Amino acid sequence: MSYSVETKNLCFSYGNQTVLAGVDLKVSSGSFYALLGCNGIGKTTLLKILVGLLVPSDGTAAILGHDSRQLRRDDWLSIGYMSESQKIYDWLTGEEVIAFTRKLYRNWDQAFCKRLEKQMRLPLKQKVSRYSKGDRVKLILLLAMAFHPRVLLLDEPFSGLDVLSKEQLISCLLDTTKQEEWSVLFTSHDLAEVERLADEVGLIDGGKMKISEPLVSLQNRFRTVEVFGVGTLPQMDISAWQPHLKNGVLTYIETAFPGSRRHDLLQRWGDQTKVMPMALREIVLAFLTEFNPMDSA
Amino acid sequence: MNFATVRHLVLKDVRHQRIRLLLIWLAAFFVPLTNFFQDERLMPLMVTVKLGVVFCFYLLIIFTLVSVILLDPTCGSSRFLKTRPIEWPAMLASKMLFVLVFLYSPIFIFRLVTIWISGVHLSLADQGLCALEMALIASGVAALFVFPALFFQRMATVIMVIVGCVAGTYVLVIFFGVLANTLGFGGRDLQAYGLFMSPEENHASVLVSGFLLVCTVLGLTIIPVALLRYWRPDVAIPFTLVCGGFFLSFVYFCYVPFLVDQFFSDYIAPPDVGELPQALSDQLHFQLESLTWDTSRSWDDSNGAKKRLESHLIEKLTIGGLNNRYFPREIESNLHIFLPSGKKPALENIERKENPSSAQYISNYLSQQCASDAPDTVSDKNYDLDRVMTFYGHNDYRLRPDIADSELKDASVHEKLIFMMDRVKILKILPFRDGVRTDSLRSCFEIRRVVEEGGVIRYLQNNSSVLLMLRGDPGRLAGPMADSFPSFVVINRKTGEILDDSSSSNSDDPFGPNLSWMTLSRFRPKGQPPTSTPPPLPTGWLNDADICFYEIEDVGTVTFSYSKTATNFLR
Repeated sequence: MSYSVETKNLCFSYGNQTVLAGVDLKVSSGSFYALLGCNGIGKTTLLKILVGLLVPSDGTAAILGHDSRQLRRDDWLSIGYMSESQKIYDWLTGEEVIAFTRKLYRNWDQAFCKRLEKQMRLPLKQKVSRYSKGDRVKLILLLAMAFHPRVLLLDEPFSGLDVLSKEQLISCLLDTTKQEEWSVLFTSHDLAEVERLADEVGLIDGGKMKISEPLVSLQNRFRTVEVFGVGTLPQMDISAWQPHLKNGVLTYIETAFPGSRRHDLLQRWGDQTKVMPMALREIVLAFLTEFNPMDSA
Repeated sequence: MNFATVRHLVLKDVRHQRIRLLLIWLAAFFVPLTNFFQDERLMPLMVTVKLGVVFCFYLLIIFTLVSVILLDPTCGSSRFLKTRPIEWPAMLASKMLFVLVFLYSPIFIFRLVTIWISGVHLSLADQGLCALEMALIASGVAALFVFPALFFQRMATVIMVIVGCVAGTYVLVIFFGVLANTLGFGGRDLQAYGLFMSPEENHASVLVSGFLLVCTVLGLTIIPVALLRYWRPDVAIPFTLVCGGFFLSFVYFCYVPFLVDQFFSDYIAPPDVGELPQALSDQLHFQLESLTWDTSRSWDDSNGAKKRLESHLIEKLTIGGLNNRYFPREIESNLHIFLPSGKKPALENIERKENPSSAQYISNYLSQQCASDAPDTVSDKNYDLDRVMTFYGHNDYRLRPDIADSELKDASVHEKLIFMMDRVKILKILPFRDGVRTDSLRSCFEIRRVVEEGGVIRYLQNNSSVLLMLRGDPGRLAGPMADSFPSFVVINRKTGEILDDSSSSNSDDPFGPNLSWMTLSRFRPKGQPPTSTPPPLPTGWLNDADICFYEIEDVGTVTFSYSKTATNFLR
């Protein structure tokens, strides 16, 4: 199977500080992949390595089958990259930045660009230096999308956006990417939005990829379980995380819920059991607070 | 490489730098035009203003150069164009094109317009070399600033790196300077200064040396500490490259012009002249007219035990016999004095009394050659050597013998003097008026304006040159006189009167023609101070004025030796 984005044993350090220690990532064609993790954990670094802005100390990174360190002019016609920190020419107006960038792409779709401009409601006559943070992000996103890239890498696309802008951006992304089967890899801390957009989710922690699986699968296998009328904390299965007993109620997170586990649960705890689905935010939190969950699994 | 992309990138850079470029181009065209302000009162002001503008012009070019590189930085992880479909050759080509067309061209234009205004006519080959030389210098200077700009992303960092590297180089130069000085003097440097310096100067030199030493030690301590503190592996490559860049630039500046000089130089060293031809030297006769001890002064030493002595030996020598077109120039003197007591006083210094004779001989010669009615003032003497030699007795370091003034009596003096015999050669005689010019290699001398007012003549002279390093011109001008500006006198073609020439104001403009306003007046009678008003020129003097260009040629050396007992002085 070919992947739009693939990394193998990717390592990177800033001086003595190791940020990525063997990250394996695979983003399938046409999927919407969300990369999650705490601040400073290496999400942005990973994206920068993928677009060749940083050079990995070990391992490989490839986009559309091309090594990130050797991306050529034509490769960039299929790759869109957006980062809030990207230095665009802020002495130009939004219109001029678009006009400048347009000439670099032979596959630039001016009609699509105009549509995006309209959707994003950018103040194009204004100098970019006077843009708000949200407008700046939207402009950079426009520059990354208007040539119909096959792969879109977005670094914190929702950061600092107000509700309306975020909604515009998400609907814009959903409309176009789903229609055209783009592969999108994005980082975000906004888990509610990730839940709306992502097909797959990856979580980086401690320099490693802790989870990398479809969002549906993740949501299916995680449940909060409450068992009433428990006197003492029983011996728990390995798939049960963070069990605690309070006022006769045993609460824990079941990480392997579907399949036989449901039957097992009912058999073990009887009718006094309440099983509740978990939001992505709760799942991620559970991962981050659980000590080394993948190893124990 | 896609040329449309290159053009697109260049236009973007031009748009960003348009105000700076406008200022640079305006300066390139209009600053040289300030040289047309030749009014004597305005000229110094214009030169000052021009120097300021030229300084800003070059500073702006350097700033624009760095700025245009930083606009699309070559390092850092927030680069915009790195993630766009642009090949690096296109990017490099766009930057080079920008620098060549928009930053180098104004320098070329500035230089060409300046050369044109300075009136120097360059041959086609020299124009090419001039362009090559400018390209060499510009690329060397550019390298100094481009290296840091390639490895850092912000203008402030680049400026700090440049300042740091310059300061570091300066500290190292001082370090090696002090080290070499100390090693050279072998540890006795400071005391040795005492032979040549007053105690105050010696103390000052000790203080300065100490200060430099402290600066060096501090610098050499701080640099490694700073490196250890801030060193990170990702700094290593840029740091090494920047240091390497500075080193290469240094080597470049030191050696490249001289290496190229070997291929292009049209400098031919003049042949060494040997001894004066026998036929001429036979005509010469030397006459030592006096050799006398003059005032001698002694005073108590600071410890009261000894007396120190200072005495002067006055020597007068005349040389005659040759045509007054010739005159000698002293090039070497070797003098020994032996006292009856066997002691040998050391010569401290030689003071040559102002000797107008050679100038007078030249003037007389030129008068006779240029004017039919010039009076015959030819003397049979070609030269008067009039010297005062000073000797001291012992000093604080006891490096000289103690000599009492009574011991100077009947001192025997042995001297060998070598003279270069020179000849006056008239090059050109032209009417003295506006537009008179004479050209020598890559230089010109011209009279731009002549004004007669109030009994004096004032004129604006332009003696400009275009020194090409690639032709070895700086060395050439520092050497023999052949290629330097010719000497001249303004002379009345009827009476042979030569006027006194003095500078009224000099432009001192390193970026323009070398213009100076000069004043011609009659010589003041002897005894009048130079500030007094000279005798006025009669009306119409200028109508008969010629300018006579001449040069002095070396013909050969002649040696005169004597041994004589000095006449004793009377106290």
